[in-house]
Parts: sequence; C-alpha cells; structure tokens
Amino acid sequence: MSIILPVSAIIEELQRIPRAVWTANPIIPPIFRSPGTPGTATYDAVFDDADFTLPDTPLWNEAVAAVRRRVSPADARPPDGHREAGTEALAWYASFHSNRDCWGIYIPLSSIPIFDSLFLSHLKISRTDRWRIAWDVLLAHETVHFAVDYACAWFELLHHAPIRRAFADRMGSNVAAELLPNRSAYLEVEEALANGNVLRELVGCVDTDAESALRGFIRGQPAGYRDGELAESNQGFASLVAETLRSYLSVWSSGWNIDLGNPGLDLTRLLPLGEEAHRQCPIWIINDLEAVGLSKDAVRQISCVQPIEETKPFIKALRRLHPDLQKAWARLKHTLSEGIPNASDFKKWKPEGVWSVRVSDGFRAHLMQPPRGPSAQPWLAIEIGNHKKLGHG
Amino acid sequence: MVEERLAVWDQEPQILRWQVRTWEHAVLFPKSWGETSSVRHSERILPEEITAPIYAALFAIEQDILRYTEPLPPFSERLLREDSNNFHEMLFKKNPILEKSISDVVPDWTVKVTKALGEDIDEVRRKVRGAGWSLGIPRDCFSVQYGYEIRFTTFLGRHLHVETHRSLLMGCGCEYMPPSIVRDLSDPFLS
Repeated sequence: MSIILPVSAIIEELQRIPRAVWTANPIIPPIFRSPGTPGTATYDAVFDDADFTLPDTPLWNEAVAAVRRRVSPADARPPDGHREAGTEALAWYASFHSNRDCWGIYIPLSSIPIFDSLFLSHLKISRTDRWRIAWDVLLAHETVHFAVDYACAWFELLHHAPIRRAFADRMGSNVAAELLPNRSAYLEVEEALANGNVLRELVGCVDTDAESALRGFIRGQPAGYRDGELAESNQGFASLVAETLRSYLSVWSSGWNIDLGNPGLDLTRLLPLGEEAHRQCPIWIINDLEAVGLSKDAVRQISCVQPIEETKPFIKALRRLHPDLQKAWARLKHTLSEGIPNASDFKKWKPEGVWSVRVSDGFRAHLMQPPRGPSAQPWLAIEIGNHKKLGHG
Repeated sequence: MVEERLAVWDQEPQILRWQVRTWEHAVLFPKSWGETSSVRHSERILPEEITAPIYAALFAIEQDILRYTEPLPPFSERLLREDSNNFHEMLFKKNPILEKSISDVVPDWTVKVTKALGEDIDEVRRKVRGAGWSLGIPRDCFSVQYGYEIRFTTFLGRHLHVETHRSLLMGCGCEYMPPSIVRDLSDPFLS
C-alpha cells in the first residue's frame, strides 16, 4: 500500500479521539544499554568501518552476551528480572500513539557490530556488507511495527475509539498478569510477522550462507519471533497480517460484528510497507558505541555525500563524456546530497578512503572521503569513466 | 438507535477455549497428556501417509475455529461471534471425519500402525495408557476422536470489557460505555 496522506494527518486526527494518544519515553530500550542522544538517519545507509577494531574488553563482551541472552534465549536464558526481547533487543519502534514528536524506529549504533558479531561474522563478505545486512534486518523488522501502528490508527479513526490503547491495557491487565504470569509482554503473532518480513526483504538479495545465518537468527529467538518463517510466503504473510490486526480489533470486531476473518479479504493492503511508506517513518540513531567499549567513530554511517568538489582531472574526464552521462552525474550529485539510494551501489573502493558510485550503466565515479574533522570539508570527485577504465573489470 | 448500540456493548461475549489432543503427542510428551495449543504443535510418531486424512480434518476444524473467532491476546482463548451451540454443530457438520470409525478414514489402520511402530509397539502402548488412553493405541473400530480430538469449551466473559478495556471504561458510571459522544464528553471529567 502506498501512503497518500502523510502520517502527520493521521496523528493529528488521533488527537481528537479520547485516550487514543499518550506520552511515553521513546528511548527506553527493552535491554539495558546507556542511551545517548538520538540523531536521524535515512532508510538506505552505507557504513564505514575504517576506524573499527574488534575489541576484546569485558565491556564489549558483556554487551554482546547481554544482547545474546535476550535475542536468543534458547542459547542462554536472560537472568531473572530481564525479559526476552527478540529483535527488539537490537532496535525498536516507538509508536506515534505514544510519542507525537519523536516516534519512529530507534537503532542504537552498537547493535550493528553486535549483530554482526553474533550472527554474521563467519560470512565471507566484507564487514561493511555484513553491517548493511544487519541494518536491513533491523529495518525490515521494525517497519512492520510501523505498518501495523498505521493500520491500527485507520481503524481507530473509523471507530473513533482508542483501539491501540485498549489493546495495551489488555496486554497489561491485572487479569492477564494473574492468569498468565509467564506470558509474553508482546504480541507474538506481530513479531512473527515482522521477522517474516525480514526474510521476505532479504532472502534473494543475500547469498545462501547469509540466508541460513538469518534463518538461524530467527529460529533462535523467543516465542513468536521464532515463527518468522510462517510469514515468509505470500499466503503465510497475509494470514499473519490478518491475525495481527484481528488481535488489536477483536473486541470491536466482535461487538460490531465485523468479519475480519473473511478469507476473501486481503488485509495486507492496509499495511504500508512500500518505499514511499518507509520514507514517512523516521529513523533515529543512538550513538551508544562508547557504552559498549567501542570508540565513538567505530561505526560510521554515511547517510549523504555532500558537498562534493570536482577536481580538475575529474572535470576534464567528465567533459570528454557524452552529454547524457554529464547530466546523469549532475542528477546523481544532487541525489547524493540528500541520501544514498541502493541503486547507486555506493561502496568503498580503496581502504584509503576512496568510494565508488554508479553513475549510469557501465559508468562509475570515484570520490575521496574527507578526512576526520570539521564536517564542512568536501568530498572530492577524483575520477569518472567506464568500469574498465576505473578498474572495475 | 442508542439503545441498540448499548445492547451490543451490554451483551456478554462468549469466550472459547480450545485444545488439540492426540495420543501420538502423548507418547512423545507424556506430561502434556497429549494436549497442545494447535495442530501445528502436535508432534507425530506415525508416518504422514497413514495419518494425513486425520490431520487434514483436525487442521480444517482448527481453521474454522480461527475463522469464526477473534484472537484475544495475551489470552489463548478467543472471542466467539456465533452462538456456541450453532458453532459446535457447524464445526462438526463440516468436518464429520472425527466422528467416524478410524478404519473408515484410514483402511487397515491397525495393521498399518502395528507395522509402523514395529518393536516399539509395547512401549508405545504402555505410554499411551499412562497418558490417559485406557484402551491403549486406537484400533480399527474406535472412533477417530478417541485418539485425535479438538476439545473446546465456551463460557461467558462477564467482565471482559471491564478488565480488558480500562481505557474505554475508566471511571464510567456504567460498566459498558459504548463509543459515543456521551462517552467523549464525559472524558475530561474522568482523567
């Protein structure tokens, strides 16, 4: 589904429904890690590991072990008083129902190398590629929570009722606590759906080794999360979407005789999961690297490339190219100033800070990363030409 | 109109609790008494080619239960929309296999099971009896339901709305306050 109305319009309307919105701190992660001040990020991210060295310190080892206990309780149960958290131990979604201004997906930067260390480090691909997989996994999971939040809000506007709040009350009700002391604190079917989306988004884009690593990551998680493979197929995904939305709406469906279980309905259409929808969901990055024993710049995320200064040899090479390619470079330069699209295949080319980007079919440009320090320093465009000329084979 | 809407919220919802119970699961997990929360979770000891029609029927009934009831997490119980008597009739009318003899569904059942279990049959028989199937492993003349059953009970959720919808009902004078302008107007006085 594509989003026509901005989410802000829905949030505005929710304010008119009594008890539909509330205030909660979005930066209380479900695991114990010192939160920092969040910054924003874009959906497509590129990582730089130039300053990263894998530490062997008690702080780092404990951070990795703490996440492992919560993500994969089958391997090591969390200590008493700590709840299993599945993927949410690495990233989480703060609802716009409870955070009007700072809702969105929260990812502590430390989650990227920790995820790598726990599940991907054996893969025969570069660390930055593994980090990119970790990033994509976390976003694919959390965007489902955003999509469900959005679909719920639609039903709230239709019913003029605080459906999500009522659901949260039911999950935390005294009756539930008394009858089910060991119950999950989360909606299991929604977590299965979210992990199913991870497989749907990434399987096919990664090699078989990475795929089995992701399946292992999912299968080792707590109840609900570990059923992600049930939502991998279209039919399974639709079935879990229906069950998730019915879980939120059950009392309303029952009370008003609404038949959401009708197999002729495709409730996946109510979930915004397309690229356009992703752009409406803010992504917040928390730099907590020092809290886990890493240096502050150990994981650098490059979310845009700007300003770009063209060197003389670059300008000379550019002038020799076809006018269409010159226009393509101008367009790309503008795009990179706002974000790094996946299609641009932006990747590190040489360890000394040279990055490569796709300009057009068969043509690339090389950019020199500015040295650490003042952020105003420009990226230098140093080479442009066809694959062969630039050494890409 | 207002009365009708109130009537909807005043009616006591029917709750459905259901379990799958198979002798095969009991053999593998004696402490479970063969009970699981869904067909998917019922472990099997017999090969698929013997029990396929039985599990297909169990699965079909389970799908109907899921189809005509609403989930109510964190509880495993579900909200029933149909009248419970009609619901029971509808389920088993659509899926009559469980009420038949097991050999009508799986011809030569006893022979096939004996062959499949081989030398383990005495141990299996002992475990099945220990888990509550006093007549042992199902035989040809037994009904399918003896060994494979979906049990469900229904009851009224008297305080369901109150206990699960405090945000709707917080401070309301009456127990069941439907979504309405009255509720909205009363809201500022409640918080």
